[in-house]
Amino acid sequence: MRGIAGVVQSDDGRGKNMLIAISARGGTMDAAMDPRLGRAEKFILIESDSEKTSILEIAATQATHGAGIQTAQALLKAGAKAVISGDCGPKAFQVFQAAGVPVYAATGGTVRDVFAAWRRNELPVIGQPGAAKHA
Amino acid sequence: MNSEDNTTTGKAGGFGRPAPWIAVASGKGGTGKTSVAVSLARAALQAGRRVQLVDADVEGPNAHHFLGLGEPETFPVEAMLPRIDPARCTLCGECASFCIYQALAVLGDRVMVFPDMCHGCEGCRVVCPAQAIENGSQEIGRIMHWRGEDFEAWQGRLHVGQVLSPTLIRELHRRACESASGYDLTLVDSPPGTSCPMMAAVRGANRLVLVTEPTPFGLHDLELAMAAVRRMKLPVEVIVNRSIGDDAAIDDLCRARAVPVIARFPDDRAVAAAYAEGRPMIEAGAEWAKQYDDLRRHLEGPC
Repeated sequence: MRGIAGVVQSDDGRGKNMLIAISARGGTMDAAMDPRLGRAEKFILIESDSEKTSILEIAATQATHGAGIQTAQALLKAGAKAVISGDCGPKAFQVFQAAGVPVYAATGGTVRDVFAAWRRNELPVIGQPGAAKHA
Repeated sequence: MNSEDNTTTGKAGGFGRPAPWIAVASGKGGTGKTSVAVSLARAALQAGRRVQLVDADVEGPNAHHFLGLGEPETFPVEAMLPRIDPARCTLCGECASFCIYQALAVLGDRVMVFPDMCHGCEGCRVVCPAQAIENGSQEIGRIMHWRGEDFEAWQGRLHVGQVLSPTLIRELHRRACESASGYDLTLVDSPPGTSCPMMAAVRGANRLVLVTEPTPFGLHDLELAMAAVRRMKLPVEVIVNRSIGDDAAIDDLCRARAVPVIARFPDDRAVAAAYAEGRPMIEAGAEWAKQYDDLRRHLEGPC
C-alpha cells in the first residue's frame, strides 16, 4: 500500500490528493459500505484527486482483542488521511485522534455513494466514539 | 506479582496448599456456590473449626453480604503496564506487533498504550530492540481482608474495566496461603464459568466441589466444568442444588465421569426467603443446619 507523500491538508481536512479509506463489504466501488470499522472485511483506499482505488484487507475481522486498534494502525500505516465508516469505537477513535485523522460517519450505500457524499461535504465527522464492541 | 511462585500459586495438580483447601465452583452462574461456601464455612465454625473464606469471584464478590463483617483492611494489587521512554523509542513497531491484545499502537510520532487491553506479560519490554520500555504499573483491583477470632475472610475486587482477574486471584491466593496453616479449612468461592478466572480460583486446591442444578443449563455447564479441570487431577465432587427429586441426567453424567454426588439439596422456599434476608442456606431451618453439618463431616474425611 502506498502512502501519499507531501499531502497538504486544508482546514476542513480535505487536502489535495489525499488517501481516503472506506470500510467495505467487497473489493469494488460498487460494494456496500461496511458499517463496522474494526471488523470490516476490507477497506477501499481512494486517492481523492485521481480517484484511483486499491484494496486493503486487514486481518482484524477475526481478532479476539483490539480489532479497532489493529485496524486503525493498519489504516494509518497505509497512509489514510481520512476514514469513512458507520461508527468508530473508543480505542480506534483514540488512535485516529492522536494521529489527527478524521473519521466520517456514513449510514449506508455503496462505496461510490459514500465517497460522493464525502466529496459533497455531506458526511459528519465523528466527534465522540461509539460504544466499545466486544468479540 | 508472584505468578511464578509455585508454592503460593500452586501448579496444576500440585496440591500446593499447606492445609485443607477446598474450592467451590460451578460452570453455570447462580447455582448457589456462594451460599454453599458460606454455609459450609459457618458449619465448620459451629463445629469449632478455624476457617478461612476466600471470595475469589473478583468480578462480582458478594460473600461478604452474608457475613456481617466490619471494615476490612485493603491492599491494592498492581500489574505491569509498559512505560515508553520517548527518547529511546525508534517507533519500530516491534512491541505493537508482538502484543496479541493490541495494548500498544505505534503512530507516526509516538506509541500509545491502552491500559485496559494490557495483560501485564512484559513481552513488549522483552522484544523492544531499543530498550525503550520499562516496567510501569497500574492498579487492577484490591484485596479486602477481615480477621475475626477463628475466622478470616478475604475478597478480591477487580476494578471496573480491568481484565486481569487471574492476576488478582493469584495474589489473593498468595496472601490467603500465607495464613492457611493457621486454619483447619480454607474455602474458596470461585467465579462462575470455565474460563481463566475460574481456573485460577480452583488452581492449587486439594479438593473441588462443583455445585450444579437440575436444569439443562446446569447439566451442560457441569460437564464443561468437569472437562475444564480434568487436567488439574483434582478430586472432584458434586452438589446438586435445588433438586426437585429427579436428577437422573446429572447422576448419569457423574457416574460416567466417576465423580461422586456428595449432597442433594432440595428446592426449598425457606432457602429463598433466608437468601432474600441476606442469610445463607444453613440458616433456613434445623434440617439445613444438619445437612451442612453432614457435608462438613464428609469434607473433613478422605476424598
